[in-house]
Amino acid sequence: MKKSIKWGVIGITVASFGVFATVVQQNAPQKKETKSYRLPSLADPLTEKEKQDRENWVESLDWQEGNWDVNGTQVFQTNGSMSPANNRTQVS
Amino acid sequence: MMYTFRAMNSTIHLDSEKGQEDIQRLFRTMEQCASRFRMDNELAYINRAALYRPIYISKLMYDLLACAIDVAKKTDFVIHPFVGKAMCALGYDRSFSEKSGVSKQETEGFTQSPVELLGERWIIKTKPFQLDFGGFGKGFAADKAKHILQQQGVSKAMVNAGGDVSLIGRYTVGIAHPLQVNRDIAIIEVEHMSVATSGVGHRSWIEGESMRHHFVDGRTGRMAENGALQATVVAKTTVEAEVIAKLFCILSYNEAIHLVRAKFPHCAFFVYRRNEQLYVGGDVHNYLHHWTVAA
Repeated sequence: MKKSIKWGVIGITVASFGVFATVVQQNAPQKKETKSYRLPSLADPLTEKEKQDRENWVESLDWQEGNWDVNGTQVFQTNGSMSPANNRTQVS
Repeated sequence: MMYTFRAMNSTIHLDSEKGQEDIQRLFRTMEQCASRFRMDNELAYINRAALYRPIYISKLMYDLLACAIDVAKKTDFVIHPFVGKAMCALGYDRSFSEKSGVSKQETEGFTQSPVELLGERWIIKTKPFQLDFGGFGKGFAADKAKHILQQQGVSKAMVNAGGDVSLIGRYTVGIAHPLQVNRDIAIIEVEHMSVATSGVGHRSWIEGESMRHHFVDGRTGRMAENGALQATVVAKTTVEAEVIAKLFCILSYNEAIHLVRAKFPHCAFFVYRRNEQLYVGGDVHNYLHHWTVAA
């Protein structure tokens, strides 16, 4: 009889410890997964959305084609020259 | 009264009583920061920096680099500042006044940026490159100078950075003849615009039996050959004018027209080709008040 009581106490103690350990583990803070982030690179290929954004941007430009000379580029055959102006633009 | 000083391998003329010290300081800073021919400046530091390590740079250099990368994307990498190695390979490895001609192997170009802008003045190199802003740096400085003068309330001024001209108010500007010294090929009258000229005449040299110049197609890293001797462009900013003029000197005429019309329609241009023909086009009505071509 005494022996069975002794084993019963041991059993209850072990079970209690098991319950306690389970509760502690459940309440312990979960270990977070580590994620690494990479900044977008200029070398990355464009996504479809980026491509679309770029196309929209080009279309949104104040398109000035109508203001380009309607006759197109004028071409002058020139072998003459002029005296230099005070302010000049030149190859630098 | 014209105020004149030397900076960035060019003579800078400033037609303004106000802002003279500020403008001179700006050009000197640009020279110290971004000249390819100095070994002790920020540009050299970036060129030597290791790959895949963040680099902290000045705001001026960051803005310049960001602007250059925008231009590179817009021109499909025909023009970008990462061609320093190719320039050295072509023999343009010192300032032009010191050049004697050194021939080396040609190099590859870029079709994507070898540097990432991380923001807040941080960048990271992803491929080795040699920065060379060339005339782009001068155009950038001329635009900054114009901005400084406008902030100081100046209503009429001209900044002429060795031929790259930025204007506040209306001015008459001569376009230098590409082959005749001290002669002009056209006279234009413009207001609040910028005018820039690129060409092969002045900065070209002979190596062996071939003529070399400093125009490199950024996509291939090879010297461009397209028949244009000189291109002058009028646009809203000097950077834009400089870039468009370079496009006309690098791409074939039809390619250049296509790209300029699609991406840079706000301009007027004068392109002088080897056959003594001057092509005038673009938005000439809005960008030029008056223009005359030498007969």
